[in-house]
Amino acid sequence: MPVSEIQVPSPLRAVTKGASSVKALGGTVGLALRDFARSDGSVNAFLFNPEGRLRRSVAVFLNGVDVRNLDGEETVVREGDILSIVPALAGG
Amino acid sequence: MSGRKQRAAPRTPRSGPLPAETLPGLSESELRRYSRHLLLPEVGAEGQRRLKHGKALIVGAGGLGSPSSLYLAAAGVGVVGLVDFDRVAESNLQRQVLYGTSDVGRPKLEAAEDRLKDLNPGVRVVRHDAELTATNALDIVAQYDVVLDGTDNYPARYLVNDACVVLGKPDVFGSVYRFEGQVSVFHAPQGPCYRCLFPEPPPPEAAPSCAEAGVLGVLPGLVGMIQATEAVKILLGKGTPLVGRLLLIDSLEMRFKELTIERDKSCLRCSRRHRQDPIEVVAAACDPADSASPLLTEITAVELHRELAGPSPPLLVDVRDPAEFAINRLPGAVLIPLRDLGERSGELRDATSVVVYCKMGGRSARATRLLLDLGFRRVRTLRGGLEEWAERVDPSIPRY
Repeated sequence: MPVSEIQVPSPLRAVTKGASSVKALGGTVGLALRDFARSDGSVNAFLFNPEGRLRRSVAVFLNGVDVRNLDGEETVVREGDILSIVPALAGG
Repeated sequence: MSGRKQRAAPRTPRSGPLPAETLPGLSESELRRYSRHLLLPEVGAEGQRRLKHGKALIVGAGGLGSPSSLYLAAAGVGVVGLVDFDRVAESNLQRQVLYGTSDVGRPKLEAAEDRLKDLNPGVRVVRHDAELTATNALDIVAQYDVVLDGTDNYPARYLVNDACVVLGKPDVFGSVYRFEGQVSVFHAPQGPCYRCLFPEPPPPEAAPSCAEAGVLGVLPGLVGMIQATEAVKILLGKGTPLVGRLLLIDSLEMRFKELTIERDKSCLRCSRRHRQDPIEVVAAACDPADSASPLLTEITAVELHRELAGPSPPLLVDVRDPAEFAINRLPGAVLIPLRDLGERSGELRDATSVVVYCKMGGRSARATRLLLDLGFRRVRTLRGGLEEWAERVDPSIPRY
């Protein structure tokens, strides 16, 4: 199973003990994100809505490309790929 | 800001930049003041005249609006409009460099106008001492060439975006959280709008809040100055704006990253079909499951005060960080930071009733949801957190 790197935004870094990236297992974007979400219930609630779909307030980029312009959660992830989680931040 | 739908008539976008011969001239004093701009071929006298003719609106005179308004005024932008209805608070001064200690308690725009006029008397400062609403947004935004989004909440950000799309204005977006910043220029239809990137705001329990999580004081300075840079470039008509690009700033690692963002052809705001739809205020998104759940219950500060004095007081769980717990706390509260709650939830098994609290109620709502998911049933969240407790029950507790 491919190992990808997930770049973690600030709101989720309490879960990663401050780490800006973590490794995740999974052959698709959805599987890799769920592997990360297994680390803490708050990650799951942050990323996914109660129906289990990726929230529309969170954009996910695979190697710099918005996965909504690829195959969404079904987009294939290969070894060493980089997934960036970009949440809507409102602070000003 | 309410979630109620309000309608306002769409306006026609303004035409392109004025021809040079119609731009205002520069006085001798202005030639001296802007000499470092005049030396730049990309600016020169014509560019400076364009800035003098330019009108920039800054929505939110806070952490982002402070540096951007200072630099736009210093740059000689002819009209700097500010939207805010708040007063200067002591906790603003760590990052809102537009204000000084003697301004605490003053209306922000009154203090801002004094500071900006002192910096550059040639700039006209227009005060919009009001909350931006669906009713006034188009009227205000229509008066300007470029808009800088320095707001601090999701409804206002969607409102700024929507008004800019309807009017065809560039929305220079900036946002901050802890050590992280985001900057882009949303300018539909040339590029994506904010809703193309984030079609919906997060639900309250997943909404990051600087007021609760903190923000490095320098960070909005950095982001706000990038916003000002983009606004100046747009007014000059020079360079490559951040349209279709999202700049991510991680100040802790000091890494800048650029991501390409594309237009969503089916965007509910900037697609051809929806571009002129009336604007409305969005409420923070709510999950149907949350609103339907009878289990996620709140308790007010006054009710909690009463229960704590009663025969079977609830167990108080503080889910903030230890540094916050050291500043203030409710008597008898157990500290379990939100990030540790999953692992340490077993410590709450014997409690017959639990009340979770934090600073303002956001984290405790997430904690309550987590505990309910883990099978706890008698769990409530303190509405408004310790801020509400200080307002309603005990004003003597330290606030931060």
